[in-house]
Order: sequence, then structure tokens, then C-alpha cells
Amino acid sequence: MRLNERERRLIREAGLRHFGTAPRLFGSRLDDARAGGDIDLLIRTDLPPAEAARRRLDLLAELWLLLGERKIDIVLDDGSPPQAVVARARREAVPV
Amino acid sequence: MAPLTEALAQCGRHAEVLRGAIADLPPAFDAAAVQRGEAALVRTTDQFVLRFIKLQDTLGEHVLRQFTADVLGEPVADLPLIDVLDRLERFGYLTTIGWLRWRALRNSLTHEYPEQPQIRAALLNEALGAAAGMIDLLRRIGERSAGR
Repeated sequence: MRLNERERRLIREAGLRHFGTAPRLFGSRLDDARAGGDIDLLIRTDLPPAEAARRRLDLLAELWLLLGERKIDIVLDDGSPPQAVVARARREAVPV
Repeated sequence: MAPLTEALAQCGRHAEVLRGAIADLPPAFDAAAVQRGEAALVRTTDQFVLRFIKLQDTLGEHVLRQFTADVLGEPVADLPLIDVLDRLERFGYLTTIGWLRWRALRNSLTHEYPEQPQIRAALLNEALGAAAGMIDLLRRIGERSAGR
């Protein structure tokens, strides 16, 4: 996993603050052989969609404040039949 | 024309069209109307979103740093944007987290969310509030710039 311990802690804590759950990492940052890349996060939530969308904005803004304005993609999973990106994320994601 | 003056004028044009679009929109979006997608609402919403994005981009790329350096006299020419935002927060123009949230919203608005009208409506409603905030920020920056 290509996030250092500080980054992992900040992401975990921010996810807990806004969604009550720690985000899970998927995508290129799981591949130690690669460099750079987006930070792709999966968050499982039962919040109503509109509230989840608002909190996603709050979380993204806070992560930019903490980590710098990097390319961070936050995918929300409400447990319903998934779109392709959510299906892939569910298969791959590991806790940060 | 000085770069900041030109950028402020450009922002002024975006804000004017943005205000016009807001005047033609309902006070709040609801998911049912978003899902129905009536032509007039779609046209005005597209105009609103386009100008929101343009205003946010122009402020972020061409105004904030220039204003902070030229008008507030802060040495920010080579500093990361986060440091520019920090200076502006100290002068009371915005909050860093607020600006970053507007930026996150700007990015979210580029997605249509065709299967999720509740999300689209929620983001558009957030944008209505954020638009008012950005227009007010522009006004305060413009007034300070004119008074220097």
C-alpha cells in the first residue's frame, strides 16, 4: 500500500469523523510496484444519498487540507447492486 | 489592463450570468424535477453549472494569489495555493476549508449522476449556496482592490 503511516492515520480519522467508518483503499495505490496515482477510497454508508453526497464534499475538502490538493476519488457504497467501479472497489479494497 | 483587473472583470461577467441563471431557477432543486429533466430547467441548470465552474476556476487560478500579493501585500508569489488561502483566511476573506469545499463541489458538478437524482439535486442545492458565497467573495475582493 503506497500511503505512509501518517497519511493512513489522517484518512482513517477523517473518514470516522464524517462517516463514522474508516475508508478502504483500492486502485493503483495498492500496487507497490507503481508510482504516483490517485488515492481511491471506498466508503460504506447507509446515509441517505443526499446527506452522503454532502459529507463526501466535507471529507474531500478535509483530506485536501490535511494531505494537499491531490487527486482523491471517494466512492460511496450504499450496499445496493453496484456500478462497475463500486463492484471493483468492493473486490479490491483494504482498510487504510 | 493589469492581470488582476482583467481577471476581476472576467469574474464579474461570470457572476453576472450566474446571478441571471439563479434568478430563473427554483429556490431549491428537488430530485423529482431533476429526474424529469424538463428542457427549460436543464438549459438554465447547465448555464448555472457552467458559470459556477468558470467563476470558481477563475477566482482560484487568476485572482486569489494576485490579490493576496498585489493588494494585501503578502509574499505569496511562489507559495502553494494552500498558503494563499491561509493568508486570505487570516484577513477574513474566506476559510480555507470553505474554499476547498467549493472546489470539491465544483468537481462534483461535472458529473451528471443520471441514476441518482437525489444526489444531483443535493449538489445543485449546495451549489446555490456556494454561488452566493463566491459572488460575495468576489464583491469584497473587488471593493478592496478598488480602494487600494
